[in-house]
Amino acid sequence: MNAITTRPWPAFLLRKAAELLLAMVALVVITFAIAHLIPGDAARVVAGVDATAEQVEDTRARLGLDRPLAAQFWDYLSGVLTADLGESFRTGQPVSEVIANRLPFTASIALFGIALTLGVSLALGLAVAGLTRGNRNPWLDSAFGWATGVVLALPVYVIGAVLIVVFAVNWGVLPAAGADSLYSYVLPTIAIALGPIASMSRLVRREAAVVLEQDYMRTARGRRISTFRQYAKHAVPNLLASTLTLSGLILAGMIGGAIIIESVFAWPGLGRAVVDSIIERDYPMTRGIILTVGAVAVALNTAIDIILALVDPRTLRAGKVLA
Amino acid sequence: MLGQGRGRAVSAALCAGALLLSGCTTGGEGADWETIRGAWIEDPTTFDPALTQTTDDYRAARLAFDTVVRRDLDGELVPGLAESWEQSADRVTLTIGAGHTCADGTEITPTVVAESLEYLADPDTKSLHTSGVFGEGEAAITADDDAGEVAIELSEPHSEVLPGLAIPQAGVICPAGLADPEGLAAGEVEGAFSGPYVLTENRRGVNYHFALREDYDSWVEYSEPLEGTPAKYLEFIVGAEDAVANQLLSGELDVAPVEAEELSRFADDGGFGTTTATTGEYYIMFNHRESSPFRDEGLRRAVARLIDREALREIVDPEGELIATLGDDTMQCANTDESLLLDQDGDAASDALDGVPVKVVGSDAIGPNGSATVYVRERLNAAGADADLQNTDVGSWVARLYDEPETWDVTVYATVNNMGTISWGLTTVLGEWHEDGGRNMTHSVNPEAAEALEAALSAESDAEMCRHWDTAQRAALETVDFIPLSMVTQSIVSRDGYAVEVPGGREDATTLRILD
Repeated sequence: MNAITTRPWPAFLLRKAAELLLAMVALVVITFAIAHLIPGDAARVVAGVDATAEQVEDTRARLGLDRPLAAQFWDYLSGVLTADLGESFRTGQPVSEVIANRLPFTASIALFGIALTLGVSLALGLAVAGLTRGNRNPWLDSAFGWATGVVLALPVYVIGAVLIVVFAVNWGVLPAAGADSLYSYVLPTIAIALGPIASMSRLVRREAAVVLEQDYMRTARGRRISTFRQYAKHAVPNLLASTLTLSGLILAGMIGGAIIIESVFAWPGLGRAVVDSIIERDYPMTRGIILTVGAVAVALNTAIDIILALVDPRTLRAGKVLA
Repeated sequence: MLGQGRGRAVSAALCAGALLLSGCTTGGEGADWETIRGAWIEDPTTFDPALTQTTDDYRAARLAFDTVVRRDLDGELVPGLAESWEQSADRVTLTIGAGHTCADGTEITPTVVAESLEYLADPDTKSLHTSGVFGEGEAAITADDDAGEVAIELSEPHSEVLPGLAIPQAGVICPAGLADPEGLAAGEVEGAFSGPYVLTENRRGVNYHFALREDYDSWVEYSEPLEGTPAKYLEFIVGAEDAVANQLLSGELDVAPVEAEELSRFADDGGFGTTTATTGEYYIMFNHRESSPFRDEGLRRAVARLIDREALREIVDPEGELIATLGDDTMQCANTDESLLLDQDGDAASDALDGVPVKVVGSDAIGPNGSATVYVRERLNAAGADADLQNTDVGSWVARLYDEPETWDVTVYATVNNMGTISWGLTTVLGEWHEDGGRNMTHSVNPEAAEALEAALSAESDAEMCRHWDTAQRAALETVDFIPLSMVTQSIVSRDGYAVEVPGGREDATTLRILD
């Protein structure tokens, strides 16, 4: 037996740290390249359509865009290492300040979205699996498959628009857009969570169907343990690994996918800010936001891997074998 | 209205954590009849009027800073901070009215006005609006507090100083603002404001709150008094361009600009009214350089015969009025003679354009998904030309027009004409080339038009100015240097009980009123 086999945790964490570092290096390089690959002259856009040639050149010099690309990259890299993401070309505001103001909005609907997804899909998937166990209620199985299929086929902006028309415009019970009040969170959260609820409840239903047929579940039923305790104590823990894996991916996707939802609901998060920054050729803002979102996604995936290893040590061993 | 029963319970649960994360507030309060709730496209980039660049910058500047002259509802210049004025080709004398004050109580004297105008005229300020207001030369500004006068002397004649002084970018900044440029730009110096409203809350990306100054008494005296009363508070939410119509219909907004394609949602609803502002002009712009086939007047004439202006107007802006120059009839000296434009003649156009390779470029912002240039390409190809189209976002398109002239031959362009004068658009297609410090992006060569344009901009009187403008417009239209299409409009929808006016066709939030 070698050290890795006997002490799998240090090796696992070391590998995860190396992956994290590699991903961050790639992110820094890619975000710098992406901003400069956007066609068009940033100095012209920032100076304004009516700017004279002289004003455009002044702007180029002021923004440092007349310097060699390597020098610009070095500035960017040095800034990232000292947590200075630069200043917005457009407003002069520090990018980190903009991100600090907007990230909570994006994070809050993503976190509410994942909480709603986990709660609803676990309950729904388990309920459907329980009610259709042993080929009972086949109509429910079909209806569940059909309904989740329809939701999955709907783009998030269609779901958002339908929610707005029904709940805001027709019934007037919730705000159509903005982030002015507590109620503003309801529709964006539901819109962002419906699709993931459909996909995760399908997964839970499939996994639960297998779990419910296991001997230990039969034994639990035979001992007349309450249904709630059967599910809570025996079924749910066995579903955790697959739901956690999927929820990590969904959460990262929600933060990235917030761009569409934020446009539909005029939500003041990072998604809308990055779209605006690309249109306005605000390189520091584009780079800063994509870097932040990317870093959050990478960190989340790493955290999920670690939690999975804690919950299910087989993952840890699989990691060692794969490594 | 908002948050009933279960909705409240769900949202309360959702927001428990959000309070920690984003500091959201309680409630979903409706109209309180002291506040008007409006919408802006994006955050203002600055609250310094001289450094403004975007539509929302101008909107904010108009609210917080008064100008020395203003536009009446029909577009005529009327007193603002100046109660009267005298103008010659190279000198403007303004007589500043008494009783005007800054938000910190400082009296707005001729010296205060002169210092603010000096700041706008100073090349070190790097304002994009200096030449629009004062012309290409230098401006010397002096104040005489005893006489109550401000004198503007120009090193080069410029006949459009007064229209320039009416734009929000020329808003008078009070001494407290000039002493703190950074605070001024951030909107944090209340004493900088000379207009009716002061910025009270600035939540970037979310909303902006303004409050009416209690001591303000410098309202414009329009030829027809405005109905209703100014709101005590104004709130503008940001970034809701795609959501504004929904928010008006759901009662979250009172007055807001709405996209043309959304207007039909309000047509059958008796609870709303629509006001139309103009923001610029649409026109077909040709590249006149050697690299372009449209250096040839014959081919430009062929395109003019090919394009159905009415059809193209329907594409770019169904609310816009067809125009016969780069401006409408509210603008001084604007040509309204449509006989100067060529009639359609598809056969003649086909004879000239058959086999001609044409590079059409456009922006996806002009017509739905850039359909204006799609129309132009299709008409050219139908006439036998070999037209290729590249539609991009605004930034790439503008950069191409300026910096890659060999890559385009024709485009559908739109000005953002804050000046409200025909010169703003015409100087993009006539006169001094952009590379030489002018605004002409097309490299057009039309000595008669260019000479008349120069003469119009340095005319001594209105009559002389209009005579020269008439010559310039005729000369340019006869050789089809450009093809005028229609005005760019912005429809503003207001809920019953609220109103807004558009002096001279221009959006002006100081005219927002709550009706009795």
